[in-house]
Amino acid sequence: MVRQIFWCGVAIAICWALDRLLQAAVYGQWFGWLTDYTYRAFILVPLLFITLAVSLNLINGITGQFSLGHAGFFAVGAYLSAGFSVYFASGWLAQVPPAWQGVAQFGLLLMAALIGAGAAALFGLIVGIPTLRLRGDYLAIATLGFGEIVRVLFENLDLFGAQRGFTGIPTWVGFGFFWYALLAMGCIAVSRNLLKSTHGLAFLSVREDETAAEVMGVPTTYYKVAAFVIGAMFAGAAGALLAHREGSIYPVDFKLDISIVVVTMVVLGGQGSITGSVLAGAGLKMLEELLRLLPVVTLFGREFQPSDFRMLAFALVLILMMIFRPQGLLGHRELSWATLRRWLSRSPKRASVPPAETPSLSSEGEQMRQP
Amino acid sequence: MSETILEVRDLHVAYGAIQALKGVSLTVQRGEITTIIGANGAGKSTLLRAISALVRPTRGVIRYETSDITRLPPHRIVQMGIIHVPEGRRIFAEMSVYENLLLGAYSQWGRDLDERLERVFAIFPRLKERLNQRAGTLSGGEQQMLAIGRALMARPRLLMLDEPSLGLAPFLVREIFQIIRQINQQGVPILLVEQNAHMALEIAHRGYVLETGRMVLTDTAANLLRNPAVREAYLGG
Repeated sequence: MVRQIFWCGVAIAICWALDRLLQAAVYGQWFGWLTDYTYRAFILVPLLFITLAVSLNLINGITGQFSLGHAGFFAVGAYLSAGFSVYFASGWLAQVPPAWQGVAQFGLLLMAALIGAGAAALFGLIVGIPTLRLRGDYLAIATLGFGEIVRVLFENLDLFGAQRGFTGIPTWVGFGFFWYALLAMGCIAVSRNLLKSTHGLAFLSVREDETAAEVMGVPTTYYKVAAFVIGAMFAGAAGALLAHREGSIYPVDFKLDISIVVVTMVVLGGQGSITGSVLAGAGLKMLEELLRLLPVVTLFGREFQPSDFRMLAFALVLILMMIFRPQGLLGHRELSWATLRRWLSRSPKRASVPPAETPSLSSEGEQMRQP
Repeated sequence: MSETILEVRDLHVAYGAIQALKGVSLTVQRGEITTIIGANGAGKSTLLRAISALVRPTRGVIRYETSDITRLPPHRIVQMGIIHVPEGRRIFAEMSVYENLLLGAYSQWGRDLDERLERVFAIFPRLKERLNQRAGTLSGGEQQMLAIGRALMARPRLLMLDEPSLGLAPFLVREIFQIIRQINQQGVPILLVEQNAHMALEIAHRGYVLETGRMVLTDTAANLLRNPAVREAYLGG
């Protein structure tokens, strides 16, 4: 326990230092290529999608439900936290003496993020309850519907800017990497600890065979709803961060595309594999950005940006995946320092292949401990 | 000696418009093996599924010891000690044998896990050899042993077995039935559903014959084995 708190503190300190360093590098223009745009596109957005993918992995990968509504939770978190900041926090902040502004901003941002997370968790509960009755395709359709309803709702609420988008959200100076990284790490840590606990097997048993889980006395409903609530909570917090970094959010930011992209990440990484979600989440987002670097092509007399085809590329990736590696990049396994070392030691000399061990939950205890 | 542990009275179960059980009554006595025999589709599995609350009865009462459990959710019923080994074994194929056994103990998590594991290994030594193997790679017989072993991890006070002989080679069927008898001799009452009527009646104390959702006959197992009608219909003449 003491050890964990120690490493937790170390991780936070490293994040903070990196955050300051990045901030200085970006705005001091230390490197030509590290601009505000590349900072956002290659560091912040991938971190955001790591959070989304890992949190959806809890729902889709670990308890084996098929949710297509992650953008909905993301939107709820973004809009409601932004609403709090615009309608309440800004007023409070104006009354704070200048010397305390920094601390107050920090606190209010934390509060906004918690409100976003809490609201999304509440919606997760509301959406999670129907999973008592819905399975498979029906659940996918219901959650898809939820995501769209949320978006259309915000599109029509004048309080939240309707179609013009919700603008004027306070963006606080120096807000970036630290919060994004902290949220991603928190999401990974919670997922991993859930899996390692005695509840972990129960979550997995729901995915494996619900009837069998029920006759073992596992309250399957409880676990399915819990997965929804926790997953939604992190998606909501991610939305809150997005809103407060960008300063404005638009209904199109939360279209069905987002849900589909996040599902793609989970499937690509291997359903149930946390490290797989991390790799796929960051990888796909960076790939998308790299597509933007390709030159514009002319097809049928029209100009196209290669990144316009990203959904096609994702579809292709998914189809190829289903054909050649249906279990995803990592399958049900996790990437750990132990496996990395095994791969490295295997590649040069094939003779000394260590015996392949069956991955068990207890051996996963090694992964990702070292920072 | 005869003390009723489970009583089912006038149980009706319907799947949509189809009546699967039309007023079934049965009792299980403490310390005994009670078997339900019947053809495919007679409603045997449905009866077990209704007792463990996987399906909801439309009418009727299920009593366990002194309490009415008809409306309880599945996990509460498991907590009370009624453990169901479902048809087709339903082991967690992607998990190891050890993880399967641990999940068996989910409802009765406690300090004596190792002790319970040892007890299961005493009955099924082969599970100990295969402990870290993926359960899906076990043979059919071993999977059935795992399914029963997993149920024993829950410290059953009533064990319900659904077609434990399904798809097993004859020598394995005999082995499984030996084990069922052995478990019963350790004091666990058993409710056994079987199509292999002969084997089931040989080890059972009491038998019920279920036909298209109705109990048509009940007697001691020995009498059922001698009953000409039962011999004609279920024991091949």
